[in-house]
Amino acid sequence: MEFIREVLAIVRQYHSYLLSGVGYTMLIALVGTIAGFLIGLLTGVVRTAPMSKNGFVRALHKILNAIIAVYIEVFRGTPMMVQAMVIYWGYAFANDGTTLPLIPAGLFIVSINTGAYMAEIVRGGIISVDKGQLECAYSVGMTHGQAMNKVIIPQVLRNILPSISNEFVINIKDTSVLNVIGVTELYYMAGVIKRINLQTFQTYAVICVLYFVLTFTVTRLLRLLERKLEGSDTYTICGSGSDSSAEIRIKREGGEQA
Amino acid sequence: MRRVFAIVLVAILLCTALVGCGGRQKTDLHNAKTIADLKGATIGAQTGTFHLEALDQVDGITKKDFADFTDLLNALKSGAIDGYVAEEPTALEVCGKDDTLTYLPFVNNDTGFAATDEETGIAVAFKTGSDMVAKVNEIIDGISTETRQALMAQMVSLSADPDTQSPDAIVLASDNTDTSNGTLKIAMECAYAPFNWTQTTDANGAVPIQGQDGMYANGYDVQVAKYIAAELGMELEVYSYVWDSLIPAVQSGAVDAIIAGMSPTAEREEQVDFTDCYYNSNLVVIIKK
Repeated sequence: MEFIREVLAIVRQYHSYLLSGVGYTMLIALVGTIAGFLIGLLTGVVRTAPMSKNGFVRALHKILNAIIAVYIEVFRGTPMMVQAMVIYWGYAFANDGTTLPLIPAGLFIVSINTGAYMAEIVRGGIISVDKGQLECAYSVGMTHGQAMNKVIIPQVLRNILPSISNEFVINIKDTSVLNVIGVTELYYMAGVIKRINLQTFQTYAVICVLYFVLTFTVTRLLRLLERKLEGSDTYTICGSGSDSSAEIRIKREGGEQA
Repeated sequence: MRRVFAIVLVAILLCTALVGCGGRQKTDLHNAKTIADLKGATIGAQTGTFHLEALDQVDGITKKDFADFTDLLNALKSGAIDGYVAEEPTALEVCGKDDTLTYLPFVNNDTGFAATDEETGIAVAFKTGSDMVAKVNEIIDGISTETRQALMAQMVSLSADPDTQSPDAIVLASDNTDTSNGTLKIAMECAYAPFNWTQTTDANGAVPIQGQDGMYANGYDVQVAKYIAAELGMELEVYSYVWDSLIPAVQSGAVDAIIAGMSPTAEREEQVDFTDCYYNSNLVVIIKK
């Protein structure tokens, strides 16, 4: 009972801190995931593109591939907390004490970190689409760009959506490591509140619930989007071009599986 | 399949056994009078402080370090440690808020524990080679011991209810209102009452924390910083950083000085330049009554 009273007191007294923390956490997670996805899409397309016959373009492509490979390995292979410290203080030392503005710094760190993971997710999505489809697209005269744009990428997007929503949830939770450079996201706010009221357990219990509400809402929303991309459960096969009544309606079995 | 299950089960048991090693024997300290009575106890201190090194001088105790000073109090309350090292003003503040706690004098008592003035004093840190050190030394040396004690007593009492405006004026105040010499940026944790803490109003001369809307810093360090800035004819800006970021902040030039209850130890002296001490306090161990 005592515990519930203390928790309610924290919510009442510090709701403005908590809400602003939720705001920054969601802002950084959302922008970071979208920017990371764009980085991933770009690098994925570049890495799976066929080598050009032109020697110069081929050399350029190889250099680009090498840069992307280094980027992915470095940012996937080091903790985000360490990256935050190195980038933030590295910048300050290199620029005579000018520090990066905190929120853009947070957005940048989460974006490039997510980008490294997304690059692999998108590449996996592209190579998972049957090779025959690409060959088929070439055979009807599409260029590689057209084939990617019209045939492959739409399928990739649908296939990797569960992975993207996974990254989004991870980002909501992982923005908490940005507290080391003082980004005022939810975890940082809990630290501030804790230092004022000295109630560590109660304060973290509150933000624990908040984090869960955030991630749960996001996963449910993305599940809805997935369902929408899946399309209607029933579809029609037109059996004959001349006889419009010759159509077969099919109810898909297990359309609910997700 | 059965073999896989067996291996997984053994691995889980092994991990549980390892975790079990964390359990500890609690030591009853409520009769303790001197640091010699701490034998067998687990004592905590903040990571990267002289407090932690000081524990090496005590025989028969288990050291445990915590990154955040606030966590030490929670560790003590939850029973994870038997006591923790703090400075006397902090102990006064904590024990004043919670009557189940008390503290033992730790420094220079009759069991032979020793600490130098530098180790128990706190000083302002500037970038190595800064010409500010001499100027600030002059200002600090002008603050009498009586004023220091009075200011600390006032801060201990204010920290009990920081957001309510007290009728009393702050003991230490400069009459210089000219701020034409630029800005003095200082860094502190804003989490080490009564030296520095965070509050939600500007009551009792608190200073807004840069980049954090609606949050204000106050405490002994803040008032001394205000006084130093005013005497220098400068505007004061307070930045909040975690303990381990304070020295990088001043080295990189992100801030001009650290005024954060930091002791001028030899290791830190290699990284930054310290002024004279602006407060000296005894180390104590906070324990349960």
